[in-house]
Amino acid sequence: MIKEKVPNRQTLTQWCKDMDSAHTLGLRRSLMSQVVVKCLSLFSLIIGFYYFSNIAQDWVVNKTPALQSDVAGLSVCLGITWVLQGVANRLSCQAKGSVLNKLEQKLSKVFVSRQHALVRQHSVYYWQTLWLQHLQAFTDWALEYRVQQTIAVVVPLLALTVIFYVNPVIGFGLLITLPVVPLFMIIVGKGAAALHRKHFVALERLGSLFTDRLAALPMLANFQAHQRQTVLLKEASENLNTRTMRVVSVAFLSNSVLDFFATLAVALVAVFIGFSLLGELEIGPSITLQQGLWVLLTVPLLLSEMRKLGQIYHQKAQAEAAQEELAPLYSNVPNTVLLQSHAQSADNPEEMSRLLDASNFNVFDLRDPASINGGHVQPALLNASSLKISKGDKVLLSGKSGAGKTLLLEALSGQRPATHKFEQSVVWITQHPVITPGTVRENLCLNDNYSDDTLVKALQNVELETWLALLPYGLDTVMTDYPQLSGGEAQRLSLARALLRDESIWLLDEPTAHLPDEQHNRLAQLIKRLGESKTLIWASHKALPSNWFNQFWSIEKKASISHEKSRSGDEKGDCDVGSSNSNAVSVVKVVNSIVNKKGGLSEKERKF
Amino acid sequence: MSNDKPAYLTILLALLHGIAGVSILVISSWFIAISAIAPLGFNYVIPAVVIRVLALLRIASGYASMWVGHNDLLARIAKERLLVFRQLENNQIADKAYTTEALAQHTEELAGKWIAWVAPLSSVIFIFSGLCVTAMYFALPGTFFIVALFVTWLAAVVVQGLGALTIANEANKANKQFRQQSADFFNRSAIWHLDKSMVQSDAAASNPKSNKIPSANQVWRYQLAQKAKAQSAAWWFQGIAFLFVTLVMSGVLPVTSAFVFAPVAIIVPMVLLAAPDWASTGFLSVSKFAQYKQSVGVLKKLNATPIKQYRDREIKHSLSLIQYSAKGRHASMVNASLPAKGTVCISGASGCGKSSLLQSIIGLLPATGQREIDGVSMPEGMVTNWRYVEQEPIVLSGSVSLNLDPAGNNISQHDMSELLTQLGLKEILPLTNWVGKAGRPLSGGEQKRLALARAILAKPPVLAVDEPFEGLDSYTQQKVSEVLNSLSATTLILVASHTTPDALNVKTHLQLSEANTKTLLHTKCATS
Repeated sequence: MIKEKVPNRQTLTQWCKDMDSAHTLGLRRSLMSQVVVKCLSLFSLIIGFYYFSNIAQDWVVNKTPALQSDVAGLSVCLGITWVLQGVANRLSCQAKGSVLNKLEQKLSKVFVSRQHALVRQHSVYYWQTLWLQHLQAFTDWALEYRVQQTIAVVVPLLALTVIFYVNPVIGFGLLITLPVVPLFMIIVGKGAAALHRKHFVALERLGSLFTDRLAALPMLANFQAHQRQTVLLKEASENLNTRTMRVVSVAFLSNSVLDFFATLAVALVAVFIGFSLLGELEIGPSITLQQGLWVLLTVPLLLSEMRKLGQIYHQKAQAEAAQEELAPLYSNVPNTVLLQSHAQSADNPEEMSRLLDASNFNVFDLRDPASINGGHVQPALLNASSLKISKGDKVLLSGKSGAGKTLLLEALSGQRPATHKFEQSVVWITQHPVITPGTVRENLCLNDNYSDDTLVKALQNVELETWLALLPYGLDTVMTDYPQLSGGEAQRLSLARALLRDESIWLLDEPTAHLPDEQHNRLAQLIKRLGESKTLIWASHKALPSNWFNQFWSIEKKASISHEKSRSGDEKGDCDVGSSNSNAVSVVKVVNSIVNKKGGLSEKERKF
Repeated sequence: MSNDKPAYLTILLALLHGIAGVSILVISSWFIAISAIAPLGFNYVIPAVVIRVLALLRIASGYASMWVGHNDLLARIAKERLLVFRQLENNQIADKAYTTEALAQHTEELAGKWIAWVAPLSSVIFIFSGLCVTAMYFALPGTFFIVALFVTWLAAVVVQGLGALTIANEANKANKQFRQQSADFFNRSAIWHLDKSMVQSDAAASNPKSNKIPSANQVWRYQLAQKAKAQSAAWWFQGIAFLFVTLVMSGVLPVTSAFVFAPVAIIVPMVLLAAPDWASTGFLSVSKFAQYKQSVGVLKKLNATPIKQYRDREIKHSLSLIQYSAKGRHASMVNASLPAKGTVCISGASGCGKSSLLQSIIGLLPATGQREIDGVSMPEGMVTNWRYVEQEPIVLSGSVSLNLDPAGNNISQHDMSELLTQLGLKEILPLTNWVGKAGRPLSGGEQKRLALARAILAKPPVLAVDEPFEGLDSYTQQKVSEVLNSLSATTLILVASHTTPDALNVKTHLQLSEANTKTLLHTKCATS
């Protein structure tokens, strides 16, 4: 009923090891130090139990007050236990903080290197969850769960050694009746695992149904469907609850088995010691109260650490969920794709002005970590046999939506793993212009400094001076959630942003896709005029005059190649190119015929 | 927000579990102590049996408390959520993904009250006071220390509780701030490459403060601080318990008890020594308590805006909009008269307010200006039988038929399948197919058509459709146009779109201009 998906992937531990070595998180060292401190603390406690039972022996059997030395021993041991416990707490807290910091820094590096190509694939909410919760889940698991896991093995061994030393019979008995380490690791591992996973899944499902309907509130109101959905929600949660309880009832048993052994061990050891002291049982060496009490105090340590492990088992389930999302991201940090030779300082002038000379150009998936270094070459998402761009070239990139236009642009700008990219930085102009909530000035400058004159001039160039004149505070007017900008104006603003930068390559990803035809024409003219001195790669499926361009690339899914230069009528925004799961490879074809026909014209155009 | 019945059984079982645990410890230590001096005629059978019974009791109550507790928890979560959901009937909440996810989290927190902190705290208090009373009654040596430890524990819990509340408050603020900053940050992703400070931070990562990349550091710091607070409270408590053990055993305080060196004297030191184990759970519960308080606060402050609903008369001749515009948006003012039947195409650049105009006409958004039916002005609010199809439609996680008939109006299966076929959605049939979050993922185009089908099946007199053709290929656009054309004979259809397929019969064009106030209205002869 509740299925668990076990994907074929690296185990969590293995991944953690890789992460540790790849990003120098220092997980191993801090794990070891925490385990050592914790074990020393518990060892000191066991010695403290020795002094405690010594004093008890004096009190009850010898009827004398405690010896000075015993009291001193007890206080020293308990003091050490206490101090070491404090040290362990602090270590754990510090280590978590520093690991989280390091992971966050790596994450921002990933964002910087992959930029929009990565971010556009998921919602903001997804990224926030990844950032806030998944990083933390991994850290908790690596620095809390794994510490406890090690302690749960070491401490029982320690306790068993002491018990053996005090009374081999009890030790032997415990060893036989409680095949401690292996069996209980399995019980805790499997039992608690199943318990927590199922519980986790059930709560998730309940929650997701609830949020699903909450997100639909306006629709439900419009359709008067609220009451009906309330009833459904009630039925569904009742149903889910009964099913979950049926599963969980069995899973709880495994947890109780541990409790059973732990409690029974204490009870039986107490009865055994009592009867031995009374002389009712005579097995093994005779026993004193001191020995008996020491053993009784030590026995709970056999299992208590394991039970603590069971209590934090959910950390493992969460870390596994986190791994799935984080692993591909973090394996991307070192740029695995080897860039082939390009843009080397060449002697002849033609090569000098060449910005890109790519033969057998391949673009790869963002998420797949094994690019070239893993030995097996992953299949390319997009392929071009030869692409050449010189300074001042104007390229029209056409193709159906979803064919891979954005993919190609992303690869050229270096946001996506590919065999070639521009050496210089580029300026992007996307379908949806970005307007940040700051002032007009902040929107244009983006942490750079430009003089007011430059800004005003740029706005004049994009024909926004009348708009600027109407703003109440001029350049310092704050853009709100609903900026006073139409789609066309917003796009002009992003053009002004591009004009301010001196990057000479512009990548235009359907800047006019969402505009009505009249505005499309006006804006396209403007872009053409302003981009005269720049190298342009212009993806569009709206009609553009072909004499504006000197190169025509067309992208097609699969092998068939189209010679049509532009398509209209298909207005779909290609936002899901990267995540398209079909195996079809996009092919870029340089369409030569049009270049030949219109070559003269475009040469002329370039002179301006 | 809900005054429901306390979970007595959960508390009782937790109590039993705790008491059995401490009793085993006390009785076993006493038992071996008394066995060591073995007075004549000592009946050793009874304590031995009691110990075993207690062990069984502890195991049984442990299992039962887990079972009952979780059963209760699940039932309570369901109840809390239904309550919240019912309260939100015909309301809108600020449409942010994390708000709804957070609501799921908060209701869980609310329902977990008993199992998370009431039961553990009350069981520790009960055991402590029971021990104090017993110790005083029998005048055991070291009674003073056990009472002192109880007082220490109470003080520690109160101090930690106050601190935890402040931290939880701060953490909530930090979380909100991070959400805001990171949302801005990710929404800007398309222009990161222009931001010099970001690109340079790649080269010089040593100076992370200089750039504008937000950091979750603050959020984590508060979360760690909350945990550290519980740990340190437990740690100080452990220290004091150990100190008291040493003091009792060293005999610093002269004891005037009949039991100075009797076997029962061992009980108090044993309890003190074990106190960090059984009393420390209380400190973890205090953090849970702070989270609970936060959740209560959030749910109280949940700001939902109600949608007024009313039923309006049939449109005979026309629906007029006078100086009409959605409130609070920089949308154009509209003056138009719309026919009672037929397709009206509203066009204009993106961002000029097509969607908000549609929503305000239906009444899902507040508006300024007047709506009039046949010259009679309409009150504010949503008209119950008018329908709106969102630009990014909502697909419920459920079967196709549930999605088509969310209100349970018994729409015939035949009508559903036929309409889906007409819209080119044959591939999502049969109607029992599960779609949405946990089912078959639908593409944007499929979602649009499913939502359109849902609205058409409700047979509304006025249907507003936001960008129905976006993301559809030309063949499917034609199919959708045909469906809308046949519907336009009986219905007023408002279509907001920046493209109009040739196949769509448009009666009236409504062009929203870029400039703020001008609105052009071309009326085409309805011949096409």
